[in-house]
Amino acid sequence: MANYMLLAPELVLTLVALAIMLAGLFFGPNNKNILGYVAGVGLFAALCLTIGGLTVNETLFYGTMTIDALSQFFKIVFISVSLLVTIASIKYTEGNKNADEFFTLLLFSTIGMMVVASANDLITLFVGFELASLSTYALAGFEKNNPKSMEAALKYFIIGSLSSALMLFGISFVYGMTGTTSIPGIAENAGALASSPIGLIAVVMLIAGFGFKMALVPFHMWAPDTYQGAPTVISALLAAGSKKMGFVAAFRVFVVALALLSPNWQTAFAILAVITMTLGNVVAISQTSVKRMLAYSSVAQAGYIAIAFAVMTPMALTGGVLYTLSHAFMKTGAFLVVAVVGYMVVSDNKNAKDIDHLDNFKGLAKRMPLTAFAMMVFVFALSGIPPTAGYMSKFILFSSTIESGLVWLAVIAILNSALSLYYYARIVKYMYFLPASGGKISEPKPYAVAIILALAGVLIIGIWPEPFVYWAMEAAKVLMV
Amino acid sequence: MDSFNAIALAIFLPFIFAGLIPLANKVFKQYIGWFAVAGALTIFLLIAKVAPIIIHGDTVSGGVSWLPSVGLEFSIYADGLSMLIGFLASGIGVIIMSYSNGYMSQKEDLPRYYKWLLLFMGSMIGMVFSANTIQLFIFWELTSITSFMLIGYWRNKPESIYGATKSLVLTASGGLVMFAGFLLLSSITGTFDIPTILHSESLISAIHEHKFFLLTLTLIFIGAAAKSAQGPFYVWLPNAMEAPTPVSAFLHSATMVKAGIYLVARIHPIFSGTDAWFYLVAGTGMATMVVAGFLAFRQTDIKAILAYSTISQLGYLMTMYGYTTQHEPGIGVAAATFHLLNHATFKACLFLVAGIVAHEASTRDIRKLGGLRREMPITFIIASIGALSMAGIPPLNGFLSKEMFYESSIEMGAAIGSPYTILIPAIAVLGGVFTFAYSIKLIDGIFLGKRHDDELPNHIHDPGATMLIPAAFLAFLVILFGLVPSIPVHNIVEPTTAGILLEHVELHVKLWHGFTPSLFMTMFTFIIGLLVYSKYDAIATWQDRFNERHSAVSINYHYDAVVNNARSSAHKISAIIQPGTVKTYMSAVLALIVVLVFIPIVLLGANIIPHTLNFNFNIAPYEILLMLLMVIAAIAATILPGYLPAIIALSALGYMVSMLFIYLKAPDLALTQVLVETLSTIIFLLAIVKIPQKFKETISKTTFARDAIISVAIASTVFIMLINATQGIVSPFESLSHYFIENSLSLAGGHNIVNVIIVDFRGYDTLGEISVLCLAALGVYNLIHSRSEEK
Repeated sequence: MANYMLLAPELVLTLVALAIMLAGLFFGPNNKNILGYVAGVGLFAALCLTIGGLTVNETLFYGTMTIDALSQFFKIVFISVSLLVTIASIKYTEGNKNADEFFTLLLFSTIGMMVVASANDLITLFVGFELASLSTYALAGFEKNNPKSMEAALKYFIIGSLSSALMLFGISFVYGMTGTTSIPGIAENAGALASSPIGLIAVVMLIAGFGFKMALVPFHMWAPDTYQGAPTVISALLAAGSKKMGFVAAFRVFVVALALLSPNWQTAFAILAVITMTLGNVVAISQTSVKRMLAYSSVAQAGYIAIAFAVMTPMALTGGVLYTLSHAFMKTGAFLVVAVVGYMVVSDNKNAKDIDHLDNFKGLAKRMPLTAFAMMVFVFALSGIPPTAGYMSKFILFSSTIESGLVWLAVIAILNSALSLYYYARIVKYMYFLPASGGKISEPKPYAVAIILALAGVLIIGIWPEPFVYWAMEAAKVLMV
Repeated sequence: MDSFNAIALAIFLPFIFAGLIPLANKVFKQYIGWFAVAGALTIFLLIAKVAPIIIHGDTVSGGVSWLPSVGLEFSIYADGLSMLIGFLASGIGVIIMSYSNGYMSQKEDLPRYYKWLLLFMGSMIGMVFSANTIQLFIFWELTSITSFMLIGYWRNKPESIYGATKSLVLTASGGLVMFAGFLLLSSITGTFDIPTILHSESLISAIHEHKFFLLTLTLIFIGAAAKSAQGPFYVWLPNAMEAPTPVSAFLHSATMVKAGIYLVARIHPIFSGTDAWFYLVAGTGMATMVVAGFLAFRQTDIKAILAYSTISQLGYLMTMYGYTTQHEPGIGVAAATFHLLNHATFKACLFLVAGIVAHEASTRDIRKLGGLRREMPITFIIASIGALSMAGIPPLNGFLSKEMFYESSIEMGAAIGSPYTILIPAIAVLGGVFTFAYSIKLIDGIFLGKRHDDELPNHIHDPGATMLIPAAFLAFLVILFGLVPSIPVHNIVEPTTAGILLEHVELHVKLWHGFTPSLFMTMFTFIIGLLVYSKYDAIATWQDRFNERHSAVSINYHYDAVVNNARSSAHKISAIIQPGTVKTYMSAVLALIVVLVFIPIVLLGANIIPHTLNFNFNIAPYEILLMLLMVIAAIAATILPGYLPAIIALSALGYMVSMLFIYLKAPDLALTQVLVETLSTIIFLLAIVKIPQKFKETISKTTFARDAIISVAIASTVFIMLINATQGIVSPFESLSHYFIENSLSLAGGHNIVNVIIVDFRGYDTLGEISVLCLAALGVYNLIHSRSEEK
């Protein structure tokens, strides 16, 4: 029984989530957001427990779950994102009578993602996927009276259900051909699958299922609409957290279980990576809503990470894994900045429309110097400018791409980074050079704390990357068995 | 303190000083500039402390562990080359920051100004002392960002914002391209460490023979050219002149634009000695030198003249570093290095003068200026020294390095042979002629000639000492280096050249070196230069007219077109691929799947459809009837008008599925299906009353056809896949039923196997199902309840 303690982070979060749900009954609508502190403490405890178990390598529940460097790494990603989102949401949910549900759903979605990270069996993986998806569907539509939020949730739900169906279809083919749903078991029996055209069908179906979460083109179309319409804190969760769930699932299923079929999916991922990053960056240029721009930028970022699948050397996987961590901090941070700007705009003018419009970023350096500086670091990090986390991850990922001989792929990726600089620089230009439309105001504390934490993450990984690279390497080793 | 620590401190101190600025501002207030000067001076002294070692011919290197997982250190390499640029960055930094104390009004946001200047200085020093490509790139991009912030310092001017953005987009993306080149370089050599490559002949020859040699060189060179405003990338530099003048003097003439030159010099031993190097580096340099020198004529803003002049002078440097042959890879290296130093002195001096003139006369337009020699005698003398040195007049330092330039041009021409023997020196002279003409124009236009009283303020005078002394000091250096060339040559040029060529170098530069061919070229330059100068205004007018008629010639025109159209084109693209309806989104996903599954079947001829179908035709009549009804219900659900009938058809379909389950002897499954179907129908009905009851959608024929095609295609794809799955490609599994038959009595004590499975073997599963149903029922109750409350 002792090793069930390995699931302590999940157990803690489950208990905290249930406690919040119950406690919500006893709070008035004006102070329900206090429950956010409880969620934050729970997440922090889970983070410490996960870091404490970083070196474990064991399986649980008849081999359906595994605790290894990869799962722990991704759990840290998920918990960190949720923690940042939770801290910021303490302000966002102020005075909202559904705050208890908000935090409960947030924790449940985190647990779902953590289950996916640990899944060693396709059924477990699917269950985790659905837990996270269903919770986030509800969260995306949290602003019940906002039609845009409703639209966001509905689109996300419909496309999400389709993808789940496709994923299940793929899983059933894999199961049919190999006779098992266990990931190591599939890897052992993948011979028949690899030699049959069914293998290709299964791969296509699974890419469609995971690609939806990863927001790879053409499965990305829900993402801009959803990220834009959803509450900004939830956009951060979707872009930085739930997107990574697709990646960890794909890492386990493709790189471990379906390694024998790699000729099938490596080319597919290379093509998807190129289309995804190019399309994401080109379309991002035209956006005037910062939220939507970040959504497309996050599509483009998924394209970069997908390179790891196309290259599939230990170093490339290290880069891909590290990239997910870096992206978690940069993207969460950037979305939280959008959230705090939205707060600023609404406090200027109650009836403001288009609160995520680029014009609202004018003169931000004067109005909120800390936020503006953080945003500058985040967008430069997203475009891969040093010394930031974004640069470090790109460096490792692209250098391994070149080393493996896929020079064209790396060159396209780097040209894409240069292209993206154009729209990121525009945000900085608006913040630092254009005149402000109001006086200096101070950020609400929870937002400020979350933004500073994200900023610290981006800069620490950029300046002292060694421990992160080391753990990313350990995680990649799990995949290369 | 050893040398390594001194250099490391020199890299990080500027960042620390910059971080201290907000605090220091409380103490120093309007004198914050002197705090920054003290910082820069400290850095200068730290580098000077290491200088004797390097002048002696040694190098300083070392590193501390930074990213061991990928074999990267934070490492420092100091040789003559890095020392030269390090001196420029800190020394000119001291001069510029002192000058800024007079130039910048105290109403300005001074802490921000000095903070970014110090950050820039730190990045520049970090860049030149970096021993590995990755670290070099990091500081390289930092210089781009700090330059961006400094160009945009005056936030209220749209031009300065335009200039800032342009410089960032071009230099930082150039840097990213260079980064690709660095990654290629390290994949060829297996190391990021520059000195390792420089000192290893086997690695260098491996690079020369590699199939990506040209690609690597080109990518790295693009980064250098973008930074140093060479070739088509020059367009950002004139716009960068919107920065405060001390910034222009510091970043955009003396230091940052030298970063590209630095890089070219740094990789010189790796790539030189090849045709590619000559054509790429020297070719770009010569084209830039001539074109930019020529375009300077058109400019009316004195800073713009200086900007074009800087581009042209950087072209000289590129050209000289590009001179190479297989036997003598570094023909122009010594000349280039000396000119690099000289250019930094006279050009910074001229920029400071431009700042003084703008400050005192309130204009930088050369058409409005004139005749200031009497009112500003000292400024006039300083400006003349700087401009004459640029023109190459003896005994100033510009003369000496230009002589060396001509000398190396002759040598290079002779080395390749006809027609280059004449062509290369001729191009060099042409560049010299243009330089001569605009240098004279600067003196003539500002200080000589008539005073335009209606355009200028009444009283103009020399500025105070804070602004005059830095400029005068630079002018003093110009004369000193000209009269006593052995000082800079021995202390700076020789070690730098040695650092680039990796061998011991002794140079003999004298003011009078006899009647050499290069001296005749110089005299020829002066004569032609004077002739060209007599037609200066006519040429400028012709350029203006030409530009009006053929605007497509200008690179700026294309830059603006691309940038301005980028958003509208991107908008068009996004309108096509992201129309916003869920139907399109789903069609895209489904279409992709159809395509990906059909391609292997049709194109690759994969054996996916079984040749013989092996159906078990023991189908009872009920089954056929049920299935027929199911098909009818499905079709009805799609074509019935209105939601209510469609929902009823859909639930009919669901109930028939559960009947099928009963027939297939799965009563538990059937039961669940009936319950789920009932609940979902109720929820459907409750929700449906809230929305309009009729379909009002009108679908065009093309849309209908498209949707039909996609539906049929996806249905047939799924059909094929299912046929495939049932036809024995998938091996049948062993049935589980015998396990339950054997164990249901012994383990669970029940005779009814189905019951035992439901309540015992799968007890938790059943519990879960029950909870789900309860929750769903609660939801239904809530829906009904809330409706009755509303009424």
